[in-house]
Amino acid sequence: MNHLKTKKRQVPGESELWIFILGDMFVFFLFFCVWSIQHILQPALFQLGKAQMNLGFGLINTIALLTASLFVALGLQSARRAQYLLARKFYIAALAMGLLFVVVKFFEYREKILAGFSPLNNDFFMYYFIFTGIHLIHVLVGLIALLMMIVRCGRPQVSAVDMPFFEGAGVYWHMVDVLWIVLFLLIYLL
Amino acid sequence: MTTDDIDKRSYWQLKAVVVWIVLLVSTVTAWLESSNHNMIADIITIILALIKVILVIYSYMEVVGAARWLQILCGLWMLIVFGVILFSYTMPDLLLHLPLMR
Repeated sequence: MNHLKTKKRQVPGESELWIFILGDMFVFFLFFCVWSIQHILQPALFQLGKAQMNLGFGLINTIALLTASLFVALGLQSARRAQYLLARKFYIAALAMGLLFVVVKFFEYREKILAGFSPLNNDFFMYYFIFTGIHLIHVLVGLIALLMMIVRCGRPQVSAVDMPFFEGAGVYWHMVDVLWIVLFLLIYLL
Repeated sequence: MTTDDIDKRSYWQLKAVVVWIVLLVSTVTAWLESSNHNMIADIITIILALIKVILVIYSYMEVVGAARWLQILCGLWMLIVFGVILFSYTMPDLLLHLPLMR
């Protein structure tokens, strides 16, 4: 009943979830360190690799995830006011944005592989495929969570008891968004 | 539902949309800025990404109203991540001379 005790609430969602969220953020922090250090050690390789990146795909994916985050935030606010059908619509819109991310990622990977770039080519593409691949798995888990939220919002017995799940799944989705913002910065922009 | 509830809801929805607009503007600006290969452009791009991360974590993840320990941990994460990025992309020569990098 977290939403009924807003003033007493310590963290959004279940406290235990934050152990996983913060742990995941720490693991990605290590990924960001590896990328930054390798960029220093192999500047020419990383400059060449970056030139092969499709900025358009990266931009579409960033906009898709940011928009999905907006819909998740609006969905949670609607659910808190017991407007579950409206929340369901927002979560469906977020799911659509998440699926767009997956489709664009598929075409991006396809473009790279057809051009002859694979994780075995060099360190740049190895880290590119590993880090974005692990992030893609996070997006897929987030999509499953969104599907579960859509199903729960459509059930007649949906109630305030479901709120910690909605909050937790929302926090997870936003974390996936945060991690992508940094990956987009490192891999495509810098 | 009282008028106050409706006002609060409209306020929160408006806030979420304003945050989203700032996020999109920052993204497109960073995207345009990334074509300029110089240190100033890099710093601007990194700062824009930091602004986006702050907005998502504190606004959408609702960390701004959460327990102090969570606010501090998230703040530390952002500080260290962006510190490392800023340092390694603007002062790579300095990092190369660290004993760990040899």
